Amino acid sequence: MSYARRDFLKATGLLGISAFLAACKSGSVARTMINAGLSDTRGTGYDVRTWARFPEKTDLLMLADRPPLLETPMHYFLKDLTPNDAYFVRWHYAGIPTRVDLRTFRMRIIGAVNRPTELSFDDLRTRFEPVAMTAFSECSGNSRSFFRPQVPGAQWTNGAMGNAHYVGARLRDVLAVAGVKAGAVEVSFRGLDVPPLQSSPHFEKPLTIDHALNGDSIIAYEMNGEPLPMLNGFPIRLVVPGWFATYWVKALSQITVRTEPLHNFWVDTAYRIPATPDHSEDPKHPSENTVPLTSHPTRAVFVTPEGPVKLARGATLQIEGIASDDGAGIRRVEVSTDGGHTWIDAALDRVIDKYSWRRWRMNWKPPQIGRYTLQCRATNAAGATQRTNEWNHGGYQRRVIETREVEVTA
Amino acid sequence: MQTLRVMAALVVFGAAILSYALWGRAGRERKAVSVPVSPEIPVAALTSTQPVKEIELEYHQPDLPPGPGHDAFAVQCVICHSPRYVLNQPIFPRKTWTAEVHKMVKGYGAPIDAEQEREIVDYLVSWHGKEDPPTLAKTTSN
Repeated sequence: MSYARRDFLKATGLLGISAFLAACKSGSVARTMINAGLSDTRGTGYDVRTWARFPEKTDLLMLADRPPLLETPMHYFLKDLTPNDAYFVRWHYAGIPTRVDLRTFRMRIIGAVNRPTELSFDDLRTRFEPVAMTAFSECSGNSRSFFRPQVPGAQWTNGAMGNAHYVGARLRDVLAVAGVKAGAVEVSFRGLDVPPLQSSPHFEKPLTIDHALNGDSIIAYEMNGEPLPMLNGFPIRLVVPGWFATYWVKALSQITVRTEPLHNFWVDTAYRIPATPDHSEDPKHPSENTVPLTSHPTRAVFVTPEGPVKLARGATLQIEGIASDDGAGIRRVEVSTDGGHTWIDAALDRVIDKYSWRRWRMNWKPPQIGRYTLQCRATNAAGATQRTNEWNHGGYQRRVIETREVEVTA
Repeated sequence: MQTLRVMAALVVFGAAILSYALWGRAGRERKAVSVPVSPEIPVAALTSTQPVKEIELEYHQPDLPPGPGHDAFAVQCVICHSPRYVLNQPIFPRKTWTAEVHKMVKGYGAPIDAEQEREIVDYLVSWHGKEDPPTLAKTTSN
């Protein structure tokens, strides 16, 4: 062995060991995802997600560390509510709030209001009628890694979603304290997170004035009976039920009532989908016109089986999943075991709440040895259902019918 | 004999690393218990009982391969995000990386000049990308 080679091996060996030790020390022993039923569907051969434990969080799948992008493992979706410590995390900039003092924290209401107002945590909790709701929320880019061709952005599988019970004050009631002036068209929301540079656009998202005043949205100070985790928006978070989580501004600190629509990067460039009737486009000829994404499409997701599965003949497969929509209400979930030729109704669990997900299940005994393609599709009260093929360049609001491969052996 | 000795040394070494790893995790888990929030405190009593919440974030930044453009990447891109953002992406063609880096400048206001932008794109393509297929390159030569 030549000296050069030996030195090289020594150097790389040491590097590997020191990296490993560093990982151990920081608590993220790189239990890199080994397939976990994802390899087929991801297909990049480049799954670098590791498990990591962030403050107030249990072990979650880490897509990125700064800002944290943490994905919930699927098995948490076998329960009606997603625990706070397992709830997914997504921020835009590294400058996220890490310290909040409730004695000094204030949420400001400014802009086209009669009385610019500052409210403390206790004000929000005591001056307004508390409202409770269970609501589903989902990152606009959830399931992005399944798009083909692949698109840039956080490569989530199905775990950037969750269902939680919130208590808070109605946004309408809070706005009434400040008094919305006539001529207001939008209300926009900012949190404590800050952009890293003067030139970077502050994360801020608007709702139309009618939407903001319709009584549905709440400013939540309680999540699953506890204070919100810091990474999920402590101390208060806007809950816009039925709408994608990009509108659920975390660590809400500033509400601006506007007489002109807000224009920023987050409205005009990001979080937009093709303006085509089905919001789908041809990868080779992307649509020129786009619109902001808004509410959750109707969608069913397999929770079990999580990935491709092998069964012995005669065994029964317990299929479970969740279905979500914009609040009209899931009315039907069907499962196909023959790749979409015939469909069987799955059993729906009780309705948890208007804007909650709805759970569904089915036991299936494959009739004979062979390969099967399972699919699931949801339909809501408005008749909205799912299709087998869709694509958009941002990898947003995925609602394509999901597929699971099953192999039955002797 | 020589081989046996080397193997024995390796086994001892492996065991040492493994025990250090397990110790590292256990230590970390103990630390997690001291997170200053406990579910027992009702939200109603929060302001008086535990008015300050503070967390400490740990970084898990991976090392990036050396090469031309590494420094530009390490200085500019990491202002807003960890290199993990790149690692998590698929192996994109040059066209996609070009658009992504440009989005960081135009959309997110990254202070990257045109020359550095090219350097960073070259760097990303060199270890986490691929050149455009010929047909694509023709239409996107700018």
